[in-house]
Amino acid sequence: MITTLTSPQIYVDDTGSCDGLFQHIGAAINAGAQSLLLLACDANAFSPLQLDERLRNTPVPVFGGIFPQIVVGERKLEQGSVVCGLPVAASVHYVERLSDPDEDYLLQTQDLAADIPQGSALVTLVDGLSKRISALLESLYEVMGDGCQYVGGGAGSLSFEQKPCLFSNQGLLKDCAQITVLDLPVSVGIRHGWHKFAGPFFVTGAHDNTIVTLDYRPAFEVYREVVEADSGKRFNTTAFFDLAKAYPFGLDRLKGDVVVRDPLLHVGECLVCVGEVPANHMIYILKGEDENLLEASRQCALDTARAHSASLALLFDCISRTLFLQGRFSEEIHNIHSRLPEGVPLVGVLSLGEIADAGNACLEFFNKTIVLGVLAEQEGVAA
Amino acid sequence: MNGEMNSTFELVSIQYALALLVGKDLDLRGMLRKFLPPALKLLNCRSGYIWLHTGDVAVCGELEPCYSYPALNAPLAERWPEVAGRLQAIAADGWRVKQLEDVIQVQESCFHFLPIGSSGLLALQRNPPLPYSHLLALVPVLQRLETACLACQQHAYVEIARKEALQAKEAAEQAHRDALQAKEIAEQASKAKSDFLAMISHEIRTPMNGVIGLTDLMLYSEVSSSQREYLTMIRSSSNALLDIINEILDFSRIEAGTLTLAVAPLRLRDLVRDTFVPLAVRAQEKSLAFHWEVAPNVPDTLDGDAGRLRQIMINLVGNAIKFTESGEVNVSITQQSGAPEGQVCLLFAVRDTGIGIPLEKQAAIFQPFQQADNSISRRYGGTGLGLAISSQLIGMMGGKLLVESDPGNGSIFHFSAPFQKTVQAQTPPPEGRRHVLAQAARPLDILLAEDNAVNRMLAVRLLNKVGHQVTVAENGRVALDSWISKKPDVILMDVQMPVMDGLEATQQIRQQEQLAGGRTPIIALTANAMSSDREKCLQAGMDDFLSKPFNVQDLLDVLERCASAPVVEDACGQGDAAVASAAAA
Repeated sequence: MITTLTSPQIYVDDTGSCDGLFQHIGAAINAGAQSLLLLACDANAFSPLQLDERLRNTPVPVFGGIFPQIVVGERKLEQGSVVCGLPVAASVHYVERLSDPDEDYLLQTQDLAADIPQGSALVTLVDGLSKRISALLESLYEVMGDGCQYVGGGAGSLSFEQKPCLFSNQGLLKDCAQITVLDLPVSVGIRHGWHKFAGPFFVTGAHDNTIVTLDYRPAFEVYREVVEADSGKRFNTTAFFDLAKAYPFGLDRLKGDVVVRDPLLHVGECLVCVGEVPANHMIYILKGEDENLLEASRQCALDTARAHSASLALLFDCISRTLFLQGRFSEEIHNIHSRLPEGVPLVGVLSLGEIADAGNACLEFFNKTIVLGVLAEQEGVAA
Repeated sequence: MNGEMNSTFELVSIQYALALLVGKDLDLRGMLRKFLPPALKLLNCRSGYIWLHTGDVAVCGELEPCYSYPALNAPLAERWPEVAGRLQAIAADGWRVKQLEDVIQVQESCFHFLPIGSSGLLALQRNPPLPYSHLLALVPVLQRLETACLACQQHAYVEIARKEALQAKEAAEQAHRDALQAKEIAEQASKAKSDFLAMISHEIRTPMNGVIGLTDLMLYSEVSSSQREYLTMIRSSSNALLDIINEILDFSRIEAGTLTLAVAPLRLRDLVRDTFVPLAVRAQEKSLAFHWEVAPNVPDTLDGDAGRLRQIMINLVGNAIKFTESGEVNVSITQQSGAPEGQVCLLFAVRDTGIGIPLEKQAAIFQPFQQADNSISRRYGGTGLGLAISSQLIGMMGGKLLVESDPGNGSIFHFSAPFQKTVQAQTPPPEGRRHVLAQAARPLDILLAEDNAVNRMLAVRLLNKVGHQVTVAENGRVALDSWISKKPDVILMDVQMPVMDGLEATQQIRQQEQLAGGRTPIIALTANAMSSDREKCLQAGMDDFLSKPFNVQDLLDVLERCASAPVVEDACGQGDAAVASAAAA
């Protein structure tokens, strides 16, 4: 008997096992899913060997990724998987070699343009540890422009070891971008809650996602001075990320909100961030308080309130926010979930970088930010 | 106060950052692409559009921008009709933006229109709009952008010029390659033609040798006067045919560039006399007066190619006699002044009272296969190659053949050519045909290798007639076997033969002689008449060369030289005769 799905169906596997994942995939397909969004925790330790053949045998389009943690409803999972069966057929596209310094993504995205109708929602997932994510987004926006809506984030592991992290019908993929076209309107909210604390500094030396010098001084030296003075802690006695997670960078935007850049680690006197930091840009060191961040989550949910009836909320919330908010992170999830229209399921990830188009600026790659996309119901399904 | 300072600092910093984004590429689109997207992010804009213009004319089309970020997926008038309308008004006003606050509201956004110096326009989509102070801060950045755009356009012009120059160079190189290929094809064609002519020459000379040789043989025997007359006519006709073949071969060599002059000391007066005496007979037959004169101050001994000079004189005087029905033919050879030290410049002039050549036809007669008109060919015959060959030969000697003519009253063909003075001169060959074959002073045992039965019979008869013994071989292999079993005094060797050709047979004989000692003279008798054929024969180890059809007396002279050569005892004391020959030496 052929079943037709009318709204997204969520299946949760708490075990984090491969069999558990595919059991739910089977259930979703049997329920009539036209395509599958798969979200899994890095702690599941899925490998291509375990998944690739079974993914290749999956009869409907799959997209999604492996993230440090995932969210379903108000639950934050550190292990396990979520299968989201969608009532619409997604078309999934890939842009490869996302760290290749010689790759011109304009050509690849131009090739995709013919297959992407204007007005589509593009769920854009990237390998979060790739080096040229902003370059890709720049090309994607150049080709598709503001005729599409974008929401997404970076997959990968908090170990910062780059490995296959994107689900596809070809298996697990790495160092690429996955652009999933959904013929559904989406409303987007983008908030972070961080504020300028020190600076501005001038980025006098940078390449890709590495800052070399600030104000003509070694980047880590400048950063260390500011952070150690404010926190009272020292980098030589504290793990870098434990201190840095509270002091991200902010790329200046004239008369606008900063775009956050998360410093992941330092290599000598250079600072490696999630996402590119362009040279010759103004940059600030940011600081946040719990309340400001939680307020951002409330505002983010409100930003997505639209007239159309919602079917699914997709959350891309930076992993470093949970590391920063720690015990209070559940409040952030609650702030978002509780403000969604009644009955709209929330699935999401704690990501390595977030992607969204705010609607009044260009498409950007964010860090330490909440991106919430609320997908509308399929036309003709709303009550 | 602090906030205001920060705001100013932020503005200056962004201005600086924007300025550094300008001019990062020499390609216009590449440069704009490296500028506009990050600039839009810095300025917190949604989109941006750049137009460039020269005076009143837009560079990239009337309304469409040179570059936009993001790309316009539809014509501007469709995507942003309000922006297109405003742009048209600005363009109509000579692309002048009157004030920086030129901004229009479109849906939820605002569009700023900012001048890029005096040669462009930038439209920025932003919400909310930028304050005046910020727009003012953009002016110097956009002026810098204008400079970069102009530099890119200049670079593009230079690139176009460079590409055009490159294309022209490539076209020239291609033309050169084509010319080389055409030359190669022409050379191949020329070689094919030469090969063909050589083959035809061989095929004609072989039977001609039989005709001329047998005629000569009969002329040397007792015949009646009428028979002698007929035989003389056969001999004359055969010679005429041979002349035609020689002319064609000469012309082929000149065309192929393989003809060279054989310069050697010569005695001019002897040469002139020997050349003109037979022609005088022809003139006498037509009742023409024929005179020649060599000026007294002309040196008698000179360096030159006697054979080719004789050929030229025969051609010019022969023509004069041929085309003169009455009157006279005069030849004068005089010295011209102004020759360099050690040289003498001689003027040869052949005057006749013949039919003459119309002025418009005079140039054509030096072209191959051309005579003054077709009726001439029909009436007088000839290949039309003689004058072309003479003209080329005179050119090779450093002179130029000219003609002055008065139709109906006669012509003067003249040329001057430089010659080196010399003190030695060759003894001219004995002239005049003997009607009786003298018996050989020393009878020889001759091995004749010849595949053509007629020529074989002719040679045997001729040689027997003067007292030589002849052993015949039908090909090179038989000749080699015969030589092994019995060493002759001399071998007459044809070149083109079945089974084994004359060259290979000669090489094998010479190889065996190196081991066993001794040396048998080998004379090539071949219908291959090209100079390269002679060289091949000598290289193969032959001692002399006679091309067919050969003059009977020439053959006997060669044999006589062999017979009179000193006899050298070989290492094995077999007593075989060996001749010292120029080639072997």
